[in-house]
Amino acid sequence: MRNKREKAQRRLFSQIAPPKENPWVMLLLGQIFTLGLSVVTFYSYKNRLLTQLYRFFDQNVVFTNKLGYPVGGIIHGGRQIEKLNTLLQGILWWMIIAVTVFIVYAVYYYRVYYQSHAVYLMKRVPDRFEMHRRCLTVPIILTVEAIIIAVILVLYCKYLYYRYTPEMYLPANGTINLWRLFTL
Amino acid sequence: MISFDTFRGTEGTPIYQQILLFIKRGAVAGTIRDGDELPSRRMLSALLGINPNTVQKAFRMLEDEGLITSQPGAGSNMTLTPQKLDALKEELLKDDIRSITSALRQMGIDREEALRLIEENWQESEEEPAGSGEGEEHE
Amino acid sequence: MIELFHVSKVYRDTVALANVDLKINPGEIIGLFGENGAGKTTLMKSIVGIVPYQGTILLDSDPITRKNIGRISFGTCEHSFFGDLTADEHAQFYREHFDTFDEKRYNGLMDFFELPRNRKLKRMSTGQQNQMEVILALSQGADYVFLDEPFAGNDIFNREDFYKVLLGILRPDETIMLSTHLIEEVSGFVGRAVLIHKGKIIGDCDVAALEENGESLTDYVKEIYGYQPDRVGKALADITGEKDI
Repeated sequence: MRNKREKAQRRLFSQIAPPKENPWVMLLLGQIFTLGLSVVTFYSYKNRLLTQLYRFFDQNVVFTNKLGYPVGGIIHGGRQIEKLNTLLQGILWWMIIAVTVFIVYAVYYYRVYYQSHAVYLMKRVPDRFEMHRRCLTVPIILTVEAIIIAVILVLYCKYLYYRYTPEMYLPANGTINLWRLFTL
Repeated sequence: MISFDTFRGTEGTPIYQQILLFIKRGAVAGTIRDGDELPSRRMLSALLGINPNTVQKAFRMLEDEGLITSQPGAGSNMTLTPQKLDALKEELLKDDIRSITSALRQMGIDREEALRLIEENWQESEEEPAGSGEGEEHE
Repeated sequence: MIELFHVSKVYRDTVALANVDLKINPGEIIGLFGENGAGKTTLMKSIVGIVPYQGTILLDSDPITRKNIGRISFGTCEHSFFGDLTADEHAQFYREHFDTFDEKRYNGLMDFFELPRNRKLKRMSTGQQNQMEVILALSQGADYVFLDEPFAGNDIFNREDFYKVLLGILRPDETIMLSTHLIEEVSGFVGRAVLIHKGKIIGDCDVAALEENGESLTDYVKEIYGYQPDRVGKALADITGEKDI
C-alpha cells in the first residue's frame, strides 16, 4: 500500500498539466498577470479613496502618519463621505479578465486531449479525475489566488475607509454590494 | 518437435481437417514418427495464425483417432503403432483414389480411358525422381 | 462476461445502435464486421464507456464504472495515445494507472516489432502508431480487449505477424473483439463473427461451425448482408438507362 500512496503522491505533484506542458511556468505567468493587474488597480483606487478622504478634511490640519495616510483633521461642511460602495465600484474588474484568461488556460489544456483522441484513454483510466486534474488544477489555483488577492484588496480599502473617516460622517448604509465591485 | 513450416492452408477445406491431413500424410511419408512431440496448442495456433479453438478441435480429433496422446502440462506426442500406420495409409489412399475417381467420372472419362491415363502417368513419374515429402523433420 | 441489454445510441438524427443485445464470453476472439457507419465503433465505444448510451452493459453482472473499467482496454485507429509522449512514457502512464500492466508483454511486443522506445509517437509512421496503440491496449493487462480497425495502414505481413503473435500471447481467458473490413484475412483468426448493420446485430456465428458446414466466413457475411451479385448490373442499367445489361 505504501507503494500505492507514493504513486498517488507522485501523480498529484507531477501531473497537474497535460503531458509535456509545464504547469509551473503557467502558474508563474498567471500569478504575475494577476498580481500586476491587482496592484495597478489597487494604486488607482487607493488614490481615489485618499482623494475622497482629503476632500473632506481641511488641507491645513490634515497630517499623515508614517505610511502617508491621513490620520486626523476637520471635516468641511456638514456633508457625509460617499458610500464605500460607490468609492470602490469596479475595483474588481481585473478579476473578470484574469478568470477569463484562466478559462482559456483550461480550454487550451482540454484541447490537448480532445484534439488527439487521448480523451478516450482518459475516459477509461480508473482515476476519474485524471484529465480534470491535469486541465483544471492550474486554472483553479490561479483563480483561488485571485480571489484571495481580491478579498485582501477590498478589506484593506474598507479598513482605510473606516479607519480614517470620523464616525459621524459615515453614510447610513455602508454595506458593500459585491456586484458593483465588478462593474465599471 | 513436429514442424509445421511446410503447412500451407488451402481454400475450401476446414483448417482442422487440413491439420489432421498434414499429420496423417507426414506419418505415412515417415517424416512424422512414433513419439514425436507436437507443438503446444497455443504455439501451433500462433504459428499458423488460426484460432485456438480450431487447433483444439484438430488435437481432439487426433486424440480420438488415437494418433496422439496428451498429458496435461507435458504436451502431446504421436503414438503410431505399425497397425495404425497401415490403417492410415489405407485411409489416405482410399480418400485420394476416391477423389480422383469422382473427378474422372465428372469429366465423363470411362474406365478404360482412366486406367490408361493412370498407367501413362505412372510411367512418366517413374522417370522423374520420386518424392514430394509433406514435411521435413527438424530437431 | 460482458452483457449488453437493449443498448441504443442515437446521434442527433442517426441511429448508431438500435436495441443491441450481445454476450461476450471470456476467452473469445470475436470479429466485428459491418460496413462503414454500421455501428461497429459506437458499439465498442459504448462498452468501454467513451460514449453515453441507453440500455444496460454489465461486466460480470456489475455495471461498468471506474472501479472495473481497468479490466477493459481499447485500441483504435483514431489513436488514443498522446503524440507528445514516447513509448516508454506511455508505458509509465499505464503503469501508474493500471495495476495489471504487463511489463513482460509490453517489452516483448516492443522488441518483436522493433519499435523505438524513446521517440515521440507523433514522429512515428502510421503503421508504427497503429502498433503502439495495439501494444498499449494489450499490455494494460485487461481481460477484454477491444480493437477498432487497428491495422488500417499496416502492410499485410505486419498484420499477419500481429495475428500470430496475438494468438501466441493471449491468456486462455483473455477476450479480444476486433473490428475490421478484412474479413478474409481474419477468418481463421476469429472464433466468432458478429455482423452489424444499421445499428443492429444481424448475424452472430461460430466460425468453426460454419467451416463444418463447408461455408466460408466471407460467404456467410455476403449471405447475411443479402449481397446481390446482380446489384451492379441493376445500378448500371438505372444509370445508363439501358434495359438489358
